[in-house]
Amino acid sequence: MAFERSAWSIFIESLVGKAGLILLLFMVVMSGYVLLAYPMDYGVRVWNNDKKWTDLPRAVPPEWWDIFDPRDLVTHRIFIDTKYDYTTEIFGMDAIVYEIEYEHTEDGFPTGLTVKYANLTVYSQFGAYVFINITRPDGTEINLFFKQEPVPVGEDISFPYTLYPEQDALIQVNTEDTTIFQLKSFLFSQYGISLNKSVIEAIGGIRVIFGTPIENENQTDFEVLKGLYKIKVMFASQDLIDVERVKVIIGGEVYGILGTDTRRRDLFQGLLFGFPIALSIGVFTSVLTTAIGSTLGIVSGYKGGKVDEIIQRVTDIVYNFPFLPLLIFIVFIISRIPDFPRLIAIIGAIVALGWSGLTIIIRSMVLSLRESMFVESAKAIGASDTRIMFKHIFPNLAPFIFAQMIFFTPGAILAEAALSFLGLGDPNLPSWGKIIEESFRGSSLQLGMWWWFLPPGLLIMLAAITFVFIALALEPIVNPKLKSR
Amino acid sequence: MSVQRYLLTKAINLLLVLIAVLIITAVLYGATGLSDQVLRSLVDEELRGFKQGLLQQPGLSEEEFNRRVAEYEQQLIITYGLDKPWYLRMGADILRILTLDLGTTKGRMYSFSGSDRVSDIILERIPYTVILVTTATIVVFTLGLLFGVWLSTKTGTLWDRTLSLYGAISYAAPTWWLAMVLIMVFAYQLRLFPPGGLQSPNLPDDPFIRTMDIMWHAFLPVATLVLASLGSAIYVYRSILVSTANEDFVLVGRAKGLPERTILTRYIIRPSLHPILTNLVLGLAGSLTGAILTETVFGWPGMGLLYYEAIISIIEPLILGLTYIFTLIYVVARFILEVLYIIVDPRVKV
Repeated sequence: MAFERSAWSIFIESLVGKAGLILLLFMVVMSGYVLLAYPMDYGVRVWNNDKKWTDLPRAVPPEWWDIFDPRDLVTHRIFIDTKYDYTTEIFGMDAIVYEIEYEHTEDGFPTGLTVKYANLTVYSQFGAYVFINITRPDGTEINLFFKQEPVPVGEDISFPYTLYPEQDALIQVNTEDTTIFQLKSFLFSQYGISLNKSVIEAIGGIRVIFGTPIENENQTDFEVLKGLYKIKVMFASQDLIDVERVKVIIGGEVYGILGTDTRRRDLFQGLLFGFPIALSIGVFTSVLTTAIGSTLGIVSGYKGGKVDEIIQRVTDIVYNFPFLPLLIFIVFIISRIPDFPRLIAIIGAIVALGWSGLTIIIRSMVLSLRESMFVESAKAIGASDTRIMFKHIFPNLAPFIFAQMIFFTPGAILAEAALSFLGLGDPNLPSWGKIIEESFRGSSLQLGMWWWFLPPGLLIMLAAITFVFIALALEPIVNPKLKSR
Repeated sequence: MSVQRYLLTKAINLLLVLIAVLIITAVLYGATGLSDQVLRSLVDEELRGFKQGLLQQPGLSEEEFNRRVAEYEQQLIITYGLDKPWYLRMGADILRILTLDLGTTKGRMYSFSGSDRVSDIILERIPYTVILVTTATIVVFTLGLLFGVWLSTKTGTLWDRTLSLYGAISYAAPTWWLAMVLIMVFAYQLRLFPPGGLQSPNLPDDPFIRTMDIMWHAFLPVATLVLASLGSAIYVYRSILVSTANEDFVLVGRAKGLPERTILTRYIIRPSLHPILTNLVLGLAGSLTGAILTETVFGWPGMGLLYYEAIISIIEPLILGLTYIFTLIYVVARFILEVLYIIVDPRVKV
C-alpha cells in the first residue's frame, strides 16, 4: 500500500527513527543471546550464589580502567588446567604436574596467589601429597607449599576415594604458614637476608614471591620482578592419583569488561541478564496498558450512555492517582505474599495505574469517528456494535495506538527500575535497577565504585531512549499536524 | 460555568480520587491478609506483656493463669476487631484514616520529637518534601519558559535540535540515578556540596548560618530534580509557544504593526500560559515521584526517604499512612494549581 510505504519512509528517513531502530535491534539481539546462553534460573543458581564467584576479585574496576589510572594496575588472571602436563618423581613417589605460565608485566604486585583443585582421587592407602612451587624469571625456584591430604579413616572406607567432590580445596598460598617459612629460608639462602616470620607477614608473602629485595636503609623492601613465572602444582602418591581440575588464580586489581561488585560477581554478566528483563517489562506493560486503555476508550466513546458515564468516572479518578506512591504501595503489599512472582506484580501494578490517559484520548477520537460516513454505512447494513468497534473504528486508530504503546514503554522500564531501586524488585533477578540498589546500599558512592552504578544506569537510559526515539520518529506520521513545525 | 461551580466540580472530583485511593489501599491491605497479620502481631505483643505481668503475681495456679490469658486474648481480639473479617473493619478504618488517625509504628520508628504515632512521624517530614518540590517546580517553570521562548524563535537551528535531544535524554534518565552521579561528582570528587543530609553537625545557633547551611544541602537535590525535568519542560513549552505563534491572531497583531515585544508577551506568551500550566499540573505527579527517589539518594529527611525507610524495615502502618498523605498532598496541590489555572485563563474571569 502506498500509504504504508510512505509512512515507513518518513520513519526511516528521520535520524531518531534510524537511531531508535538500531538500538531496538541491539536490545533484541542481546536479549536473544541471554535467553539462549543463560539458564532460566540464572538469578538463583548463579547470580545470588556466592559459591560461583569465589575465583573473582572483590570490588575491582574493569580491566580497561588501567588506561586512565595513574598506577599500573594488575590484571586478575585465572588459569584452569583439566589435564596434567607431565609426570615426575618426588621423594620416590610418582607425581602428576600441572604447570601454568604467567607473564607478569605490571608495575604493581598481584594481590594474592590462590590454588584450587577439585575431585582429588587417591588410589592408595598411603594418601596423597600436594606440592606447589614457582620458577621465577630470574631462574630461582621456590618450593612454596606442601601438605599431606587427609586419609579418611573408618571401616567403610574403600579405595579409591575422592576428596573435595563438592567444594574445591582452596590454598591461599601467599598467606599459608608453610609458605612463609619457605620464603624465609629462600630469602636467607638466595640473598643472605634474615627476616623473621612476622616481618615477612607484614611485608606480605606475595611481595616476596613476585619481587626481589632492595636494601632501603635498615628496612627490607621489595620491588616487583617482571617476566615469566612458571607455577607448578604437583600431586604425589605411591599409587595412581587423579585430579579433575586445577585452578591457579593470580589476584588482580582489575577484572573483566565491567569489573566486580563487593560479592565478587562479574558485573558484565549480570548486566547482560538485564536486557531481557527490561525489554519484557517494557513490552508486556505497554501492550497490556494500551490494550486496556484503548478498548475502554473505544467502548466508552462508541457506546455512550450509562457505559460511557461509568467508564469516564472511573477513568477520571484513576487518571488523577499519584502514580509512584500507589505503585509502591501495591507492589509492597503484594511482595508480602510469599512466593508471588514479583515481576508479574510489578507489571500488573503499572498496567492497573497506567491505562487511563489513553482511554481519555481514544474516547475523544472515537466520538468524532462515530459520526463518520463509514460507521453510518456499516450500521445501515446491520453490522454489530462489536464488529463496528473493532473492524471499522479500531483500524482507523491503530497507528495512533501503536505510537502510544511505544511512547508508554520507557515509562514502564523506568518505573520497574525505580521500584527495584527502592528494594521492591525481584530479589532473585539481576535487573539493572536492582544492581544500582545493591551498589547504593553497598556504599558504592562513598567508595568511589563508579563501575558498579554507572553502567546499569546508562543501560536503563539506553533502553528508555530507544523507545523515546522511535516514538519521536512516529509522531509526525500519526499526528500529521506536527510535520510542518 | 461560574468559577465557584468549576472549582466545586474539581474539588469533588479530587475528593473522589482521595476516597478511591483509600478504598483501594484498604481492600489490598485486607484482602491479602496483611491487615489480619499486623493486628495479630499487635495482639501477640500485648499478650506477651500481660503474661510477664501475671508471672510476677505469686500463688497463681496454672489453670488460673491460662484462663486469665485466654480471657485477655479474647478481649484484645475484640478491641482490635480481629473477630470480624477485614471487610467489616474497613469502613471504620477508612473513617479513622480520613481523620488522620493513622495508628502507631509500635516503637519500630520514631519521629524527631520521639513519638511513634504515624501521623506525627509523617507530618514532621512534609515541609522538607514540599520545600524541595516547590523550589524545583518554580525553577523548572521559570527556566523552561525562558528557554522555551528563546528556542521558539530559533526553530530548526542546531540549538533547537540539541535541546530537543537533551529533552529526550533527560526523560530517559532515571532521576535517582542522576542523583547518584551528581553526588559522586560534586560531593565526593569535587567536594563542592555535602553528599546528603539536611544540615551540618555542630552549627552555631544563628538562623542565617543555619538557613544558608540547609540551602547548601538542598542544592544538589534541587539541581537533580531540575535537571531531570527541565529538558522535557523546555521541549513542551517550546512546542506550545511555536503553535501559538502560528495562530492567525498573531499574524493579525503583526499586520497591525505592533512592536515585536508586545506580540511576544501579550499575543504569544499570555495565551500559551494556559496549556503550559496544564502541563505543570500534569508534571506535578512526576515531581513528587522524582522527589520520593531523590530524597532517598540524598538522605533528605522528607517523606520520600521515610517511604524508603518504611519499606526497608517493613512497617505496614507507616506505608499505608504515607500513601494516604502523599495522595492528600497531591490532591491539595492539584487544587491549588486549578485555582492558578483560573487566574491565568481570561475566559473564566469572574
